[in-house]
Amino acid sequence: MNFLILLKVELKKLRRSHIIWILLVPLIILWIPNILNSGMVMDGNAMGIAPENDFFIQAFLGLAWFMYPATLVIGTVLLCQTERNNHGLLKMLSLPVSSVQLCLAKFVVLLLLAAVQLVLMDLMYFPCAIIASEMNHYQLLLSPSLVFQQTGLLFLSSLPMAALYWMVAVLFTTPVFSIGIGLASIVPSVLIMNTDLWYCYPPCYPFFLLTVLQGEMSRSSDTFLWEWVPFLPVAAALFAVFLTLSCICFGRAERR
Amino acid sequence: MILSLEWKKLHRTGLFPGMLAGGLAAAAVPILNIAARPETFLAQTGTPLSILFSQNWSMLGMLNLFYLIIGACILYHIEYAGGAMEKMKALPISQGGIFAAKTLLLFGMTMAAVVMELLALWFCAWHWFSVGSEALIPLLCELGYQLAMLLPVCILMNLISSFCRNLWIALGIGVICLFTATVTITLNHPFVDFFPFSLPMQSLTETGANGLRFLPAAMIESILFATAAGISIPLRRRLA
Repeated sequence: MNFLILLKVELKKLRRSHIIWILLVPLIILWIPNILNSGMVMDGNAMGIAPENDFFIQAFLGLAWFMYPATLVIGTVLLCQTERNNHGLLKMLSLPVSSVQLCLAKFVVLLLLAAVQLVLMDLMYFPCAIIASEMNHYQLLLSPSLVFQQTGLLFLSSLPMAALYWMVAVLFTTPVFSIGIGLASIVPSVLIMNTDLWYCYPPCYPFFLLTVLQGEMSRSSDTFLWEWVPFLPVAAALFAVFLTLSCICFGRAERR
Repeated sequence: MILSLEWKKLHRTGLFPGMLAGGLAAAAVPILNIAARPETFLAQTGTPLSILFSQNWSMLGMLNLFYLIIGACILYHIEYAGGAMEKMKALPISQGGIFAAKTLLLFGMTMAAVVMELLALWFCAWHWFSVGSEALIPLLCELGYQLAMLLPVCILMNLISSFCRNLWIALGIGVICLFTATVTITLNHPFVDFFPFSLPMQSLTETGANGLRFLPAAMIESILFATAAGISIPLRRRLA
């Protein structure tokens, strides 16, 4: 079976999972207080950031620091549990399918879920910004190219984190530990961002990226610096290691 | 009897060691936080405990809620996984009793995590601020307060979990509720403050006497959710 057919099979398995609601509902919950509070971005703040930039960044920071990583964890639970019910993975492994391809297909599905959430976020940004503009009589809408560009970067920066969570889900077959490690790793990311070794901790990448953008937009002096040199090699290496390990260990418990 | 049965079922899920490990990890947060930058902590004004709580409790409260959500999901996931629920229904055991036992276990395990975190905060106060036994009474009050704040969310989360056949749905609802608590905090609306998932994010040390008004609210919510469980669980069985 080639990779595309495998991917199609994996997507078919999601049909009755209701995962779309778990992707969509938090966005609605996120935007409502942001619209209601949009008067606050008009008052301006100490950082000297323009209201339209502030409106954009506040909402996306809210998503990136907590809900987006948590969505990835929920996605890994979904992918693992659909296989564990009725020994699904055991049956898949008995077919003439390469287990590495199967593992990668599942990882791609996880990335697709994340991408769907970000696309939904962007699609909701435009109407919400228009409503907030009407409420405050001020143009709060940013150019779509900037919004899509930042969302794209956000997605790319979350790849190592997704690989980390996928590896954790593959290595720890008991759900308590795989979910626990995933969710607990989100909380200290704010602390680790403030250290010099932030680039060693994948769960903080998306939040760090947006914090850097916030600093650029406000032109304040004590901002976070995005340095490509230690970041990119470390992130790429971590991504490769996580993905390789998960491919090697995929289905190990079932084969025994 | 039901309690020991439920405890036995947890053996192979690793929930109790997981909770202990989680509690230890959470306890490490304040210690590492102050060890990395003691001068920031020592420069602040206020009592040692209020400094420590204002710097750490938002994270610790969130971790406690995460552990509680995961615990509740697992407690009912093991019932749905192998059709165990159907078998339990055939035995002369009340479903409400199972729910109560599960809630009690979850509450006990979360309490273990909270105790470890408070001990870690006490250690920080002792090591960096040289505060000794006089911190004991405030910390015990804080423990009681946190347990009261965690009770409604414990019952509610178990109720949500008992309704969800799939693990990711229960987990998703729990995480979304926690997310709601974090994003609506900016609204400053009294209704938001009493949201069960927002309650454990605050500490008595920070809010002081102002926080006491949440105690009756937590009590009422607990009774409300327990009643909801008491009505819905037999009702589901009758309708099924």
